[in-house]
Amino acid sequence: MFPVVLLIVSFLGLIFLGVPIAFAIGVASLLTIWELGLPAKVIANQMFSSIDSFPLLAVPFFLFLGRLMNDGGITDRLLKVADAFVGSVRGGLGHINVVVSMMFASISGSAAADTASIGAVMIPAMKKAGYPLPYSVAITACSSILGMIIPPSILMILYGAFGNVSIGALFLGGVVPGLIIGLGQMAYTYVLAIHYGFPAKPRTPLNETVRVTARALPPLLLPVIVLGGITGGIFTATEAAAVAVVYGLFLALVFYRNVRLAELPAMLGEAVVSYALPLFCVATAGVMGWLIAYLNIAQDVANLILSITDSPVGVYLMLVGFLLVMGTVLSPITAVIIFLPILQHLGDVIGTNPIQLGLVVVMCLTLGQVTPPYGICLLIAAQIGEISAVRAFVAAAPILLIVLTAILIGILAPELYLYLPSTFFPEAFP
Amino acid sequence: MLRNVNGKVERLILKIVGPVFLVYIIVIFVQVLARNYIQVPLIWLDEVARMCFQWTLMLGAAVAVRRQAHYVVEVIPKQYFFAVVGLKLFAQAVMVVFIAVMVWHGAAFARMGLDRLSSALEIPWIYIYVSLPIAGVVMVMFLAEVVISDIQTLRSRGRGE
Repeated sequence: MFPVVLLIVSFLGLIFLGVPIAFAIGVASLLTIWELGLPAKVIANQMFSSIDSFPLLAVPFFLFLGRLMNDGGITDRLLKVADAFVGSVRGGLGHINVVVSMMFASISGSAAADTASIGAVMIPAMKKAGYPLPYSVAITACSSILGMIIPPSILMILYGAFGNVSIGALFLGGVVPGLIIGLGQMAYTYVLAIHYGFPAKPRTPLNETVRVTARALPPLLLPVIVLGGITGGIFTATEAAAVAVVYGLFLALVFYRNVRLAELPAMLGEAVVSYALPLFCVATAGVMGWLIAYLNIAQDVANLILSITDSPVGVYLMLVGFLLVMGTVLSPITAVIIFLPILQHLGDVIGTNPIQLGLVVVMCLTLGQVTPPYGICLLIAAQIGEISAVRAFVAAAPILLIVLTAILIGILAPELYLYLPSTFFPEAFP
Repeated sequence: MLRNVNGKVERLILKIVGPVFLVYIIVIFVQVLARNYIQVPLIWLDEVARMCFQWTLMLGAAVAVRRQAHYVVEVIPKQYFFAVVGLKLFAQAVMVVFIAVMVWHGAAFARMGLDRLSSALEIPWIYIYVSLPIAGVVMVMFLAEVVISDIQTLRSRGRGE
């Protein structure tokens, strides 16, 4: 029992003492490995075996794509489309914010890039138009977590790669909850707009709508290539991502000419540093995940939970609570790698569908992106809006209830989410 | 002095990893074309991509140490200056322990890869595994710079400047 306690206590302790997460995971694992009398070479071995995975190769691509869209002026084009379609509804800028996040989410696979690039434009614009600042910050942060739910999603790639679950099925499973959360946020915006009298923008004339949509059509083809290619069995998630990046490079360098060839090397170099951050966590989390399996912690946790309740819904609710707490300190990617063995073991015990489990886990962890102390999206948005993270969180709380509702639907009525994946990937449903 | 050297090392790393990332993008793209259009699966390309991925990841993580960009959970508010910097020094000491393991045991692990060959290209694994201890050495240099500058700010604040 002592090694288990050592692993968990030193890990949480080091994180709260301000040790960078990747290193806290590494040192907690190291202490446990010493305690168990195992050779420390295991660390190097497990670090490499966790990053030596073909699906993982897609992660840098989807991160780079988000950046490319921003520097390539693609975000601006998407904003104009959103403006043309929903700008004239009461609370127009709020709706634009959500819709553009949904479009951005269907191209890039991460949430933070979404917050940074959309927030930089939308938050000042909303402030100028007289929207309350906390709401503007909150809706920017909360709509950007759709980046991890609407396909493609880096988090789903990792979940699929490490959990041996079909990534294509997870992607398709994210479509309906993504729409529900997006539309829910728009409904909330509409209610606020009526109550506080948010302005609407003048209606965009039809010919203008057609014009801006046509101009944004090339980037909007990206989700078709990625999702269509994967669903049609033409390529894997990693290959789809590479095709998408080459297409994105073509758009930025040749078609729109917003990025000059001379700028490309520096952009690529910076991209490496930014993908190294989450993936270095993946490497060290691999060591901890291995220890959790070695110490058979999954079994212990499962027994503990099953001694409290053995109803699937009860177990699910405890999982949600656990993941919400963990999500506040760990990045979603790290949390997936560390806890996946435990989660999947529990899923097997209660006999749940692996895709359903994956969707619920992903949605729970994305909430951690907007909760303090480590809600990266909330922090970025609060920084742009120059308000405290606490004020932003208070404004975000009602919006988070929408996401929680979507999670509950995933637990109680999974058929709604599983219809698409079970139609296109029947082999993922044993 | 250290800052100058590290600046050069960081620029050099960025100059190397950028093109390597591009190679890795192109390699996977070419593989898709090769498999779908000329029906020749090129497995060795897959291996090249993985090697590029692992090397760029390790070197990128090293650069992130110099930029202090690795994810941290901030618990203490910034106004408690001495507590913040003191804990930061503690965190850096913890990082040194892990980096030492990366260098020492990483090197031992890499040596084991000397006579294990990759399946398609038949390259000894040591050329990939060695990225871990090398990244570790670079991390030590970068971390030393950060620690020195933190101690300096601590001292100047302590003197009431």
